Formats: sequence, structure tokens, C-alpha cells
Amino acid sequence: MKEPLDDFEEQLFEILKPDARVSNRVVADELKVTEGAIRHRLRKLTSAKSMRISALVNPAKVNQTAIVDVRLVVETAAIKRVIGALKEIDQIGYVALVSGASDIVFIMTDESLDGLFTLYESKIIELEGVITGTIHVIRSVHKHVLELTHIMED
Amino acid sequence: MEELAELDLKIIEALIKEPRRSYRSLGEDFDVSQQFIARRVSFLIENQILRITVQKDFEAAGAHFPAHVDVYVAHGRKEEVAQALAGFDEVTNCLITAGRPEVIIRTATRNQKHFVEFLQNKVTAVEGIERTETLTVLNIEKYNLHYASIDL
Repeated sequence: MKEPLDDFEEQLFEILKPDARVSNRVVADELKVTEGAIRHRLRKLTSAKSMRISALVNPAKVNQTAIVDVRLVVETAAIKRVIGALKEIDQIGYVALVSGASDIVFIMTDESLDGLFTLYESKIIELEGVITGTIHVIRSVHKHVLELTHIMED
Repeated sequence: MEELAELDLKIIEALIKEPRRSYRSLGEDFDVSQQFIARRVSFLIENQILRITVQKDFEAAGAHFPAHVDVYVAHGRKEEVAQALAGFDEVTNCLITAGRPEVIIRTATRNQKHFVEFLQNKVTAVEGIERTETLTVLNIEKYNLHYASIDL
């Protein structure tokens, strides 16, 4: 289990949130510690996968306006293989194994819905073991908490 | 707003891989000055195309129980329902779809008990919701989301 950030790390997080390119020296001056202390703490947090510095891109500004949320029902024996295949597809940024009415949830993003539908019909629904799938076209995003993410283990 | 040049997209791609990479190093790679790179990055940030920020892992933030909730909404009320749901701290993403369910939320709660309390006490109090369906996340297999609505 990943450790929660301590008070010093929370302060570091708040300073870096508006602009994580600010230099370690500036952060060190603000927190009244040495530059080395900041470097050490950042290294510790990133190697523990507790925090990361990210470049986030607005999809609407780079022609990635088509977003779909897809659910698959998959034969139990095929779930691992289907997940492996989905992870290889560039347009898919998120894949989760879930419990409920579906087995797998994933999110695809691309320039056009046509492109995503073609990908879905030609590569995904045809995967061996997929019983059925449902696509939800996302019309608008009302909330996206930027400061939280899932940092994968290597 | 001026259109993005091919170089802008290359700068974005390079910063996704290494967000704190120096402008000098980027300039050397793309055969332009570091001042030029600095100007383009400022342009990308000012126009809400790019944001360089820090992100906390869900688990490190104490959120150990991720879930997706499909929200079925009474006709004509999806905007107000989405707005109400987006106001809850437990909701990390709130999306309006083009069909049914009308709204999809992703939640980050401390544990199953917290999630059930959220669903029973907060979600059911939102007017306009007909029913919900929950998918609990057993394991996140891929999370490579560089796209984010940074202009909300």
C-alpha cells in the first residue's frame, strides 16, 4: 500500500501544482530547505509511485475530441488475454477490470467517432472471448480532477 | 487562436515523456533556440492547451476504492444532475453521454463503506436521478491518460 504524503510533501505538492516546471531552487527557497532536500524528496515520491510530474494536454485543442467509454462482457477464461490486447491499442488510455454488469471498462480517444467505431468493430468486438460490448459516446466533460491519477507499477 | 504548428505538437510529445526537460535540450533536438521553445511553451500554457502539473496517486491520496457509476436520469435533467454530482468531493470525473446512462461518474472513496455512504446519502439525494448501476474496479490495467480537460 502506498504511503500518504506527509505535511512537507503536501506543501511541496501545492507549490508544484500550478507549475511543476518551477526549479527546485525556487521550491527550496519557499520551503526554507536546501535544493538537495527537494531533489531527494521528489525522487523518493516518484520512485514510490506516490506522486508524479505530468504534462496534461487539452484534447479539445489537439483534435482529440472523440471520447467513448466502452464496456465489455467477456468469457472468464479470456479476460486476461482481452485486457492484454486492449492495452496494446494506442487510442485506449484507460483499461480496468471491473465487477458488475461488465467485466472490462476502457476509454478510447481519437480525432473522430468514425475512427473509434471502426476500431471497435474491426479489432475489439472481434477479439476471441468477447461476448458483447456497449459504447457510450461522451458528449461533454463536467468534471475532471487533475490532481489525482493512477501511477502504474513498472 | 493561432493554429498549432507541427513543432508545437513535437514539444507537447516531448514534454509528455519528460515534463521537466530543459528548454535548451528541447531546442537542441528541434534545432531552434531555447528562447523560442520557452515562447511556444508559454503560448501552449496560456491558451490552456498544455499544463505541467503534479499528480498524486489515488492510493497515496487515501482513495482505495475506485468505482464507475452509471447514472440514469429523468428526461431533460441530465445537465442539472451532472452539475450536482460534479460538486461532490468523491466524484473525480463526471461525464455526460449521448445516450443512456445519461451521466457516468468515476468515484474515489476511502473504502467500500465510504462508497456506500456516498451512494446512499449523497447520490440518492440528487433530484432527477432514476437509478444507478455501479461497476467496482478490481484492478486498473492501463492508465495512460495525458488528455485532460484542463480548461474546466
